Amino acid sequence: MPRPLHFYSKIVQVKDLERSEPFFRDTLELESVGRDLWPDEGHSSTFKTAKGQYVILVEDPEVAPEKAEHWNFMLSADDFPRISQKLNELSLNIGDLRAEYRAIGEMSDNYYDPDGQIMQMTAIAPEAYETPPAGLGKITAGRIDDFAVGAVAYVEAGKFFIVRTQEGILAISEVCTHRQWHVRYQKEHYRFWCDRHNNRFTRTGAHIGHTPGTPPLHAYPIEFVGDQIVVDTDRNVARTQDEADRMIPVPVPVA
Amino acid sequence: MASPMVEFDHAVIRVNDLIVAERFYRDVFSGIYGPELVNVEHTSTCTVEELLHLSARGGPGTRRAEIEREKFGRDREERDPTARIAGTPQGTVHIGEALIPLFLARRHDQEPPPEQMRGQPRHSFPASPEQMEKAIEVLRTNRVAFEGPVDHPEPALVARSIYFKDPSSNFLEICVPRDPEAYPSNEALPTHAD
Repeated sequence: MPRPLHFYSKIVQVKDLERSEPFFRDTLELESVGRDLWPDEGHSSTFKTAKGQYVILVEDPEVAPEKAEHWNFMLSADDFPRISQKLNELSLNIGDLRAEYRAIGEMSDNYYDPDGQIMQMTAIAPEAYETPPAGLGKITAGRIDDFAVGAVAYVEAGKFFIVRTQEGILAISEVCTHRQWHVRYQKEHYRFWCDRHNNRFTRTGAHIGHTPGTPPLHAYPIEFVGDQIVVDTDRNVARTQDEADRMIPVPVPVA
Repeated sequence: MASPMVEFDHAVIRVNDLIVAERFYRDVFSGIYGPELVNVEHTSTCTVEELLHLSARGGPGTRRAEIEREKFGRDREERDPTARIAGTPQGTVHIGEALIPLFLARRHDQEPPPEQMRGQPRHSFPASPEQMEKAIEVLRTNRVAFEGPVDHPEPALVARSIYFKDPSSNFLEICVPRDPEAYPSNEALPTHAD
């Protein structure tokens, strides 16, 4: 049965196959397929990922491999700690230089191969795809009249934005629905922006970024208590793109 | 037992002209596999706000600069002004499930000779025999020089290959696997991609 289109192989130059093979076989635990399977490539060793992609090491002892940009292996969250530990023991693990950007349940390490090439491995547990609420309880954002029509205000105490338009009010979570990083509001453009993957969302949270399928920013339930806006940050609400513009009407003051 | 390494999902390559590279990958690979399987995004910083923010905080594409800073110390920034650039200008190419971030090179790298079509590092993509014929046609139409088709004897796992380079001389290969089960299907691009 045909497979989804993907990389078929990556062919990399190594200076010493005897040195590189144990790294790819024993440390990274790639499946060894065999040596010299590619008559045109010279002395080589081939490995395979679980999805059937080939990693082909081609030896050239005369030339130091050019320093290339990194490439990334995906593995399961269960396997990640074991491989990471092995890289630590070999003093090859650089660690996660972007740890502060990661979602809950997302693990990543950068490391060197025996030729000094930077590589990366990543595991993403199911919780990384969730959008957690702030979990700060019910937060009084302020008086309704504190938020002018057209304004977007960040409420630090609850980690959310109050958005007010002619149609009403929304309390929008700051957590990016793509991978849990924090959006910031760009008032010049009337949109939210996440600097981790350059995703953008409209003022009401609809997704307009480049990662197809990312849902709108989550909203929090709002209660109007007298003239105060109270936001429940323990319970965020997923919305569809069509629902993103549905504002909560502001109660009409009793004369 | 299958490897715990499920897949290699992305491989970053350096390019010396982002606009030209993005056009190349869009034209060539959507010509071979169909536009529904290829998506090219220019994901560089686009606004003053973003550029200012990235300059202060770092952002996508700064991994190498961060590693070098850690390894060589801040004096490296004094020797190499480009190390101060926060947020490498970049584009993103999806070819089916394969992700190729294109990073604008921070220096002029020596390219292989124009006549050399094969080398490492190289990324290869699978094709059915019909897609291979299409690939040859697309490369000719787009005036992309290539070597092949080259027929491989056993035990090579692919029966036939063509070799070519992108405009920044990154090596590429389209190959026909010996096992028809490794031919690519025409499933649409994944959603919610990283």
